[in-house]
Amino acid sequence: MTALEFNRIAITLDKVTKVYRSGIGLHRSGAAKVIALNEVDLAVRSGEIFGLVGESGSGKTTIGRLIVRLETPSAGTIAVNDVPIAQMRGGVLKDFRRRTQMIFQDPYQSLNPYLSVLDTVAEPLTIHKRPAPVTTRVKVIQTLEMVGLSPATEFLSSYPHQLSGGQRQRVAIARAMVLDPEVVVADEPTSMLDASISVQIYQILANIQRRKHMTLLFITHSLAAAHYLCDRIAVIYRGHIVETGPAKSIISAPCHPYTQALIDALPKYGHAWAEKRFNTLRAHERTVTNTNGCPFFARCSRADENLCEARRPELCEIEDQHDAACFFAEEFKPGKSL
Amino acid sequence: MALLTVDNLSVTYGTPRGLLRAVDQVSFVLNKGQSLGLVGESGSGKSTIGTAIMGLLPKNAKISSGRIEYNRLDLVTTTAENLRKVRWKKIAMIFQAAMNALNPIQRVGDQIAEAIRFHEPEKPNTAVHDRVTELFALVGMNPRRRNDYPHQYSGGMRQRAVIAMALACRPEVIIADEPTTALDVIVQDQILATIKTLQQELGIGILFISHDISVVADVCHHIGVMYAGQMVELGTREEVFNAPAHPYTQSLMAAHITLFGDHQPEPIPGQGPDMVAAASGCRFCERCACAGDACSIEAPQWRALSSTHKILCCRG
Amino acid sequence: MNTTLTNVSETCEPAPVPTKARPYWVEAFSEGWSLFIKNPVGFIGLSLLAMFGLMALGSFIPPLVDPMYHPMTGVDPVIAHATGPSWRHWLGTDFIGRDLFSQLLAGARIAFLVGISSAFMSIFLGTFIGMLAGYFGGFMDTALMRAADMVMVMPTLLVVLILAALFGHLNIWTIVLMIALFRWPGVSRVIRAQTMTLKHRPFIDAARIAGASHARIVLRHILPNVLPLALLYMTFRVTSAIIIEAALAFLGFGDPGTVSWGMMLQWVWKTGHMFQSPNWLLPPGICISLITLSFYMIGRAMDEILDPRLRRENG
Repeated sequence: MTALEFNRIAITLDKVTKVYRSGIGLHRSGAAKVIALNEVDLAVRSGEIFGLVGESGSGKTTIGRLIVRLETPSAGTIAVNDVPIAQMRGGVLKDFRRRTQMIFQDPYQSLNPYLSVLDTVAEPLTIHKRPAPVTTRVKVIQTLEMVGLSPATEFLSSYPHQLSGGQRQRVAIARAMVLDPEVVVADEPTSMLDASISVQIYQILANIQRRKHMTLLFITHSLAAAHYLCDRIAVIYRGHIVETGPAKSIISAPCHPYTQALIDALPKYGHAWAEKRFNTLRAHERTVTNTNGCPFFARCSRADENLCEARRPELCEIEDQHDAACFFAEEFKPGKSL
Repeated sequence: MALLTVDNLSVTYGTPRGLLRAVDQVSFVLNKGQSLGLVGESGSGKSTIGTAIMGLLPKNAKISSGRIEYNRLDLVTTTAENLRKVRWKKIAMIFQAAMNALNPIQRVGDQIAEAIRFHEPEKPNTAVHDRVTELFALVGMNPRRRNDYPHQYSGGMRQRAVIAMALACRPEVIIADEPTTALDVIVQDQILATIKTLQQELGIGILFISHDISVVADVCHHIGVMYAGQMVELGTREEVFNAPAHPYTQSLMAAHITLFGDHQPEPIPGQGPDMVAAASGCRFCERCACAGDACSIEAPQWRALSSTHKILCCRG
Repeated sequence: MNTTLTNVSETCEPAPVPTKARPYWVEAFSEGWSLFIKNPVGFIGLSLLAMFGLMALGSFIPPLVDPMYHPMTGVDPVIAHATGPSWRHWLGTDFIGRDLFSQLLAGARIAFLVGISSAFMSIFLGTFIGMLAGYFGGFMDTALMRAADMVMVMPTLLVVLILAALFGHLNIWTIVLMIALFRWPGVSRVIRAQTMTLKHRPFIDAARIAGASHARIVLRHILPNVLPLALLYMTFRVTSAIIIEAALAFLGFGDPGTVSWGMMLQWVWKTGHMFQSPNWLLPPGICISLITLSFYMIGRAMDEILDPRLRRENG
C-alpha cells in the first residue's frame, strides 16, 4: 500500500450532530430530545481498520448507521470518498450502497429466517445485477469460502436456524463482502458470540481487509478488541469523540481521562498493570448544571470547575497523530509508555 | 467451613430430540467467606447449575442425580417446607438482566422494603426503613434515591438495587449469574469492587458465574472451568489462571483478547459437542490439541495436580 | 493492528450442517403441526372440519346415484311434499320432494367455497394494506388506517342486505366479494403491527443497505414473516363469512341458484315447515354452528402455537 493511498481519507464526519426526538406527531414541543452525537469530527483513512470504542449509548452505533446512510444527520456533513452522502437519491444512492456495507451485531436477527444461505448472500448481487445469473452461484461460493464456510456447496441450501451463531455471522460477513465494497462498517460483530468464536471472526475480517484493501470501521465496546484488530482508534463518550490516534499509542499512552478510566477499569488480575495507574474517576459524580462544558466533567477527578464546566474542549493534537479533547491532556500525558 | 456442597450434580432437559445433559456430574464446595467462579462459554451448563441450586429450573428440566447440600440439608430431596426456609433466605441469586428483576411501577426503596418484610414479617416499619438505608449504603448507593423508580436509575444502579434486594434477607450464599455482563466496563469495575467488599465485610460465600475469565479471576478465590456440562478444571485462581492444566482452559485463556497479555489470541477450532447424543470419552477430544487415541473412548478421570488443583482428563 | 495474517484454512468451519436442509417454513410448519395435533382443541376442530370436508366432497355423489337426489333440481317422482327421514331419503324431503341429505352435503360445499374464498380475498387485501401501512408509515399509514376504521364500523350484514335489496338477488360470487371488501380491516391492523415490529429488525436494515427497493423488502422480507399471522387470521375470517352468507340466504337475499344451509333454512321458514319438520330445520342449523365452531377451534389452537413463536421472534 503506497503512502499516498494510505493518506487518502475514505470517510469524513464534519461537525455531525444527530438528535432523536421521542414522541410523535403534533406533540413535538413536549417530546424528549436525545442528542446522540454532538458535533462529531472524524476522519478514517482509506484502507485502514479504524476502531470506534465506546460504551452503550455513546453514539458509536449511530455513527455507523449514518455512514451507511440508514439515517441522515441532523446537522453537519458526512462524506465517503469525498462525496457527501446525506442528499443522495436514486441511482447515485444505489451505487453508494454497492460500495458501502454493514455487518450487524446480532447474527440471530440479521438474517431473514425464510431465506437460504444462497439466497441471502446472492441478494446483493441480484439487486445490483452483477454478474450474470449463471455466475452468481459461483461468486457466492467463492465468498463463502473466503469467510471459511467450507465446503461452500454444503452450506448453500442451509437455513439460518440450522447454523450456529458463528456460522451465521460468517454468512452475514459474506453477504457484506460479496459486492467487493470499499467501505465496511462492522457494528459490534462479536458481542453476541463466545470468546473463542470471536477470535475467528476477527481473523476473518482482518484477512479479508488485507486482501481487498477495503476501509473497515470496527465499532466495539472493547478496547482490547480494538487494540487487537485496528490500526487507529477513536474513543467516543456520550456523543463526543474524546480521543483518536494509533491503536498502540492510545493504549500505551492514553491522554484523555475517560480513556484512562477505561483502561483502569479493565480486570487485570495477575498482570503488572494491576495497580490503578491513572485514577481519573471521581468517587461520586458531580451534579452538572451547564451542559455546554466537557461531557466527562461530572466524573472527572482532575477537572477544573471553572474551565471544564463552562467550555467544551476541542480535539487537539497531543502527539504525532494522537488527538485528545481535554484541556489538561498535555499536563497529564503519561511520561513513560508501558 | 463448607457452606454449600454440590456433589455429582446432573441436570437434564427434555427436548424433542431427546434428553439433553446440561450438567453432568459436577461437584464443588463453596466455603464461608470465599468465592468460587464458574467460567464457561454458552452451553457449558454454568447458568444451569445456578438455577438448579435456586430451584428455578424450567418445567422441562430436572435434577437427574446428585446432591446439593446446604447446612446438612440436601436441597434436592428435602421437603418443600425446608426449601422455603433456605432458598431466598439463606441462598440468594443475582441475575444478569437485573433490570427485569425490578418492578417498573414501584419505587426502588419500597421494593427492597418488601423483600425485607417478606423474610421478616414481624419487623416494625421503622426498623425496615433503617434496614433499607443500611442496604443502600452497603451497596454504595445514596439512600436519598430510595423513592425513585427503576427507570430513573442507571444500569449500574439498578444492578446495585438488585444486589441490595438479595442482601435483604442476610443470605450466607449469593449466586451471581453474569451480574456485570450487560454493564459497561467502568460500571462493571465498580460493581465488582462492591461485590468484593461485601464479601469481605459480611463473609458471604459467592458463586460467581461468568463467561469472562478475567472478571472471574479478578473476583474469585477459586475457579471452576465448565465445558459441555462438565467441570474440567478446578483450582485456586492462581493455579487456574497462571498455570492452566486442562487443554480447554488453556485454549480458553489463549482465545481471550486482552490488553495485558503478550500472546496472540488463538481461536478454538471445531464446535461444541452434541449435548443430546450419548457421549463416550472426553467431550473436548475432537477439539483438543493433545488428544490421544484413548480420549474418544475412555471416560476422563479427575487427576489431582495439588491439594487444591485438579483436572478432568484422560491423559495423566 | 496486532493480528497476524493467518491462513484462511485455519479459520475454517470444518463441520457442515448435520441435518438435511429444510426451508424454514417447512421446519416451522412440521413443528407447529405436531403441537397442533396434540392440542385437544385443535384436534377436535380439525376432525370436525375433516368431516365437513368429506361432506363437501361427497356432495357430488348423490346426483350420480340417481338424478332425483340432485339438491336443486332433483325431485322425487313419487314424493312431492315434505317428509321425514326414510331409507330412501336419509333426512327426508323438502316441500317439493327434493332430498334433504344431498342438500346438506351441497351446503357444505357452498360453505367451504364462500368461507374460504372470501376469507382468502380479505386476507389478501388486508395483508397488503397492513404491510403498506406499517412499512411506509406517515401519511399512507394514517390514510389507510382511517379507511380501515371506516370500513370496520360499517355493519357488514346491513350494508350487504341493502345492496341486495337494491339489486335484487345477488350472485354467490358477488356476495363473496362484498364480504371480502368489508372484512379486511381486522387483519390489516394485526399485519400492520407485525410489520412495524419487523421493519426495525437488522435483516431489514441489511436488505436496505444491500440496495433493495421498498417493493423487494416488502415482498421478499416482510411478507414471508407476516404470512403465518395472516393465515391464522384467515381461519377467523372464514367463520364470519359463512355466517354472513347464511344470514343473507336465510333472509332471502342469497343466490337462489345455490343450495346453501342458509337457503335451506329460508325454505323451511318460508314454506311454513319450521315447527313441523325438525329433520329439515335442525341439520342445517347444527351444521352452521359446528362448522364455525370447528374453524374457531382451529384458529384458537393455531393462536396458541403461533403466539409463543411470535413472542420468541420478537424477544
